[in-house]
Amino acid sequence: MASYLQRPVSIAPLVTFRIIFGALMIVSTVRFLWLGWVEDHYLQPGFHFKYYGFGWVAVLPAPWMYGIHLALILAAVCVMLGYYYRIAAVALFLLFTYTELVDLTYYLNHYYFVSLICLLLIVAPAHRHFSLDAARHPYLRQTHVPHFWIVVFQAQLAIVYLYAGLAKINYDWLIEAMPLRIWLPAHDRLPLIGAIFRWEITPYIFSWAGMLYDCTIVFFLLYRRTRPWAFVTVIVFHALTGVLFQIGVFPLVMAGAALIFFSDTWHKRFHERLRRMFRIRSVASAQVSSIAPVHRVLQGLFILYFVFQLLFPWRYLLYPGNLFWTEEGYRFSWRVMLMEKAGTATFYVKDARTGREGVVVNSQFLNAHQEKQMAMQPDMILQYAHFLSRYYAAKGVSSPAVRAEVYVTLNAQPSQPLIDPHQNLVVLEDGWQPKNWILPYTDRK
Amino acid sequence: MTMNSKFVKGYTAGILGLVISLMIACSDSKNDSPDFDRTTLLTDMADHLIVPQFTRAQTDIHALHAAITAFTAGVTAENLEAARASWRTAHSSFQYVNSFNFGPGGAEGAQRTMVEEIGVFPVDVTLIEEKISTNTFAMTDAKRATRGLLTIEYLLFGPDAGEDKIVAAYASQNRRDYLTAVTDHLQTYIDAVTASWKGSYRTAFVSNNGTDVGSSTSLLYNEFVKSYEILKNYKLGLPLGVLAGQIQREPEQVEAYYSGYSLQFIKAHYQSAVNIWNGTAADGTDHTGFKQYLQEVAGGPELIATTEQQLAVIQTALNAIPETPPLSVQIASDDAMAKVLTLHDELQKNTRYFKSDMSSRLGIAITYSSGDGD
Repeated sequence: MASYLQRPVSIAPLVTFRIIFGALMIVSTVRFLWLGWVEDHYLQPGFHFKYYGFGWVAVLPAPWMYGIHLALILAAVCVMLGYYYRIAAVALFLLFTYTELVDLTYYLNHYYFVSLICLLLIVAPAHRHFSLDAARHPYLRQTHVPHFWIVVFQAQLAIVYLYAGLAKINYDWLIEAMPLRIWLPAHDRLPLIGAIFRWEITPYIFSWAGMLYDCTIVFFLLYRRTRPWAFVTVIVFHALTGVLFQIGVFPLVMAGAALIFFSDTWHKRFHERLRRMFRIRSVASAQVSSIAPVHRVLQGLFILYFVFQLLFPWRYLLYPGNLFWTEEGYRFSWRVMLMEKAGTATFYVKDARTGREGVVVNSQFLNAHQEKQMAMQPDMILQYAHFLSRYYAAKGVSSPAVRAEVYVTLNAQPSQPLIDPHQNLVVLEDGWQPKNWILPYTDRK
Repeated sequence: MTMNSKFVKGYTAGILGLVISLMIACSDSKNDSPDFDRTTLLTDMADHLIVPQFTRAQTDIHALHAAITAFTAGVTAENLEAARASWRTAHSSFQYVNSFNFGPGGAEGAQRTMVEEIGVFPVDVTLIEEKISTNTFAMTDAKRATRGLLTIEYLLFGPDAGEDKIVAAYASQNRRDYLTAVTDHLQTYIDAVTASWKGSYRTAFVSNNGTDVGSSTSLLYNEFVKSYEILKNYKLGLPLGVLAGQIQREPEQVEAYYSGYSLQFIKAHYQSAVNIWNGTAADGTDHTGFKQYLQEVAGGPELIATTEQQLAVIQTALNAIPETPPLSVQIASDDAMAKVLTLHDELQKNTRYFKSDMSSRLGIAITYSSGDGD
């Protein structure tokens, strides 16, 4: 095992990874700015939902938020070119993760994936070849790296796919073809392929194909013989999800990341093509013998990292109740597009002195996206209730109690109350312990 | 190893093959399952509900404009009476279009949505009087509570003063000019929106038949829900004093406080929502609404049944409120307010069916990052 990880292999796949990832981060951030999302996501809402333990992360004034996004683009450019690479990678990780931590309602598994990749890139020697740093500093140049650095990214990708696949092995997904039975027919107007989404069989085929794809794709990418076919499947799969769902540049990110499984020869050819295209001259590289083994401390940290990655998604087993309903242990577990869930949450604020109770108009505080996300996720409901209590206390309501009537529909089932409507949410604190104020889910099937 | 590779290769090809064969097979247009044609929904909505209702609102607003022109030319109690009647008709017609706040009635740049431009209530009486006294007739500022249908209402029905006093107040040229300016603005606005719906926007609306953000179905649906919530929260909740932070009932906050026709407009507003649900046209004929769409999707028929049950309860609650005295008076009364509160609460119970259950069944995108999405 040790020699498998320490044996020198070509740095080429790692370099491609750095270039493509950097490029996609540029595209993604430019797109974010272009669509006006800095304004819509960060500056418009009067209230932001915090990540547990990151309550101190606050949204900054407009010039800062725009500045951060421009700095993100700059960092991504530097990572792509391998220019002041380490600093750029640290900046990319910190800035991107900051923009994610500002508001929990924008959580996406893919954003989490991007943060993790940024973190891994900080320590990876991805700038030691075909980079401006290597061009400037001959001592950095390396044509080979310990196999470890390729395996790290392959393993991260494998975890994402495998866990996403395992999560799809459930009754609703496979037997009921839910939620695809809701989502696919809504796309029957797509050019060329629209009509197939009207067939009853289509959601079933897509559900099973999706599950099989996620569970097996990494293995097919690992085998040289199956790799070309597997990559075609990667392209088709992510192209389809890209067309069907509003997921921005993530299909490209996933397809680009899968190249890490490709052979050295392929990557070298790819670099040659880049050299020709951008007229980059080649610089001499150091000998294989000079590569440093992965440091002991780093090895230890990586063991911890992967233990966490492997175990954290299973924490849901420690909670009672239906995971899809309670969402306790749902995030950071690669549960991607697994359910159709929506809720309507009505909050009531009660004055402790007068006993007068009033209804909250959510749109006064939240944008449509925040309200939609909050209305089906208990931890966000709790946070919002605490905010309302503070807000109305400042407005003169004495020790405001806040309760909520929340009706949630899961995979086209009739909506049911999500939480105890009489519970004063202000007295509760969020935490790791089970939320016993969530009402049990009654499956009507 | 070779066997194994062949196996896995076949496997991959199988998955891929399934997807590709589906893509090829789509050239056959025969459909096995009953499907709903969103184009039918959009065409019916445009041709039987939206365009006719806008045409009616436009006609009634033109009549109002004529009546007000007559009144400002000859300030008499008789002409005031005529203008008031015209206003009542026009504002009632407006209830049937007040949820179409997209396309030509949508917000764009400095322009807010239709309902914010010409349907704001309560109006800012102090500001209106200030504008009149200072001869400020600009209708393009951000002070939207000084124009629109309910500003005209205030100007025609006045703050609890007798008809004589109102007529007397119009001795002021400024006041006549202001009334004219507000009415001109209203007519210009409704003309532009109606013209767009009768022209290019109708085609764009019908052809944008997806379900993503910005699709016609998504726009229509989102504004339908928003309008329903405005009815519950602001036309009822606010005057009833049931909004968080309110310490008492505020009957003077009802829509159309000065004329006292609040209940009539609430009924029209609610009927307008029911018409969109049922696909009921301006002339009462049945077409395609959200209900027919739901009929064809997973979990839809069940949702229709629950919703219709609640709609019947709401209708009963609505009918139970007496026509007189005015709604503000009823809300002010400890006894009479109970029936109004019941209506509010029953509307509340239906909110989730319209808001989350329906969008979830139909797979309509509400926002860009929507869906469980990634």
